Amino acid sequence: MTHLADGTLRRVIDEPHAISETDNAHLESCVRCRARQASFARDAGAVAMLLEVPELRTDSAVALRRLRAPATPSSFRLPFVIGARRWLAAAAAIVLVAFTLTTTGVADSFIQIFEPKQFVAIPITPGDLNAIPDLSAYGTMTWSGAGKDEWTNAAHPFTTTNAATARAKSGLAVLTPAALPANADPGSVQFRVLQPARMTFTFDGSKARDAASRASATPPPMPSHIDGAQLYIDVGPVVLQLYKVGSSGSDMSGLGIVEARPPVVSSNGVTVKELQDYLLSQPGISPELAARVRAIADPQTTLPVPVPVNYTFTRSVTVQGQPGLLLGDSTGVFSGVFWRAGDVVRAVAGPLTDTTVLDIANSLR
Amino acid sequence: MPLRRHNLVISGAPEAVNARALEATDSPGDRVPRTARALAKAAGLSAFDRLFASEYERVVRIANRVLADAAEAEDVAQEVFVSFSRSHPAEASYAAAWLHAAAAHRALNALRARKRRAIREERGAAPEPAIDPHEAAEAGERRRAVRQALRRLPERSASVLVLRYSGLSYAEVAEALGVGVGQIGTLLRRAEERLRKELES
Repeated sequence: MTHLADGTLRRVIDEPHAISETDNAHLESCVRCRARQASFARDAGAVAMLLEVPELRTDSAVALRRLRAPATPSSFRLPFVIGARRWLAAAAAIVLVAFTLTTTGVADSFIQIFEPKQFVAIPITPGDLNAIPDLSAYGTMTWSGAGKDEWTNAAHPFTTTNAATARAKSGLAVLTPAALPANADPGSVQFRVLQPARMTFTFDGSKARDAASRASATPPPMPSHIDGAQLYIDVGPVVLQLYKVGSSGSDMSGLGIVEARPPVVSSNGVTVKELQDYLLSQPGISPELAARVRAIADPQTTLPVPVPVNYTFTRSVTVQGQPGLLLGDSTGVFSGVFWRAGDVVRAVAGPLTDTTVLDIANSLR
Repeated sequence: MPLRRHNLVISGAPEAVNARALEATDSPGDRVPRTARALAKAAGLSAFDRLFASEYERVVRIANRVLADAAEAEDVAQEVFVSFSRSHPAEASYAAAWLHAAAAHRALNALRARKRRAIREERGAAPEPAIDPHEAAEAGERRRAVRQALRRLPERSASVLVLRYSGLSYAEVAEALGVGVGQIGTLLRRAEERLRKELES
């Protein structure tokens, strides 16, 4: 006589109707199989007790709001999604600090002090991210130029589904990928064009004191050389090419291809050495972070890309014959690559593997 | 800087989802999510919102079965949904199975990786309903031992246990693990034996 398999006996304990009539007839008549089944049931009862956990109450509506909420210190683990806004603010602050390292002595005349030609990862810790001062509150920021409303969010960027229109509007080559991954929808392509604009930042000692007191910190006084000094940051045009990946409709699911004139930073006479010392001595700039920024070999042409330490991997790559920086989040499902090509900077990023992102970058024509 | 990379490799990922196991079931564990999904659809929510409404609780329950810590389980559930939304359409037929497999996988990873869990459990992060302090201590001790045993079990054994004991039907467990539904009884029986042996040792 063939006895019932262990798996069949185990399943019948939980799902009594899942057994065939033949097997059921056997079970009814077989003392040995019934004894095995009783033994399995005792084990299952014991395991159920062992795996008991305290009662749980969830609220999916609250959880969904949390998923979409801006970053809080406890949700730092998702820097590219939840913490994107804070991450960008920190990135801007670090880049601004790095800009000030690019010249020495007193710049008495209007000079160009920064233009990125290469990229380097600057690891930042959750502590850095939360402590970096909001340097935009240390002065007054004004925008001018054709694209100022687009850069300040006062107007939507020009949007088209036609690459030729985007080329004409931006004056850029607007390369498109020769191949897309299977889960990206070529029909969903959208080009967003941001016109050139100039951001002028005027340092203001009283504003810096106010900002620091709001953050319960005491910054060193702003030197008179810096108070009133101006930085000019010229940005754009930028073309952002977007493709839907998957169909969740969420903004975290898209593939983005960026083509932009590199931002150029100039000053009208900042005492750069003092500005550097001043910014790096702000409360919230950790010595480690300052050291990493200072360690950049060629700061005049290197754009530091802040990446959350332990949550992101980075590596140097070659894209279309040019040196680039590849980064991704630590779950391995989001990747991006930046590189400089002639007079533009390019980036490809999306919810894709690093290999796929590199393939797309190399296929741009 | 330290170069770190952790690729998510989910055993029983969607690619491996077994089509034979796609037959719908009417298990008790199924009813609540389906009702939530119907309500979400009636409210005009997006496909992702509907998926979230229908599966969030089960994803948290699976993670909590591993971690025995509600807050940590909700963190895992958030990661699972974000991960899913980055790479998969919300309407995918395998969505629920993927989420269940990922919840078990990530929670087991968290359990193995986080040494501080032992300290947390020592401090009683998961409060016991028992009033008797002796009973509470015993329950805490048992929970720690079970978590240690789960850490040591092969991933598939641990997954089949937590998925089944979180209320998934045999068909749902099979779909999540990418195996035939007929294999689940065998896998479950072996996993129960292994867990028992681990605890005895």
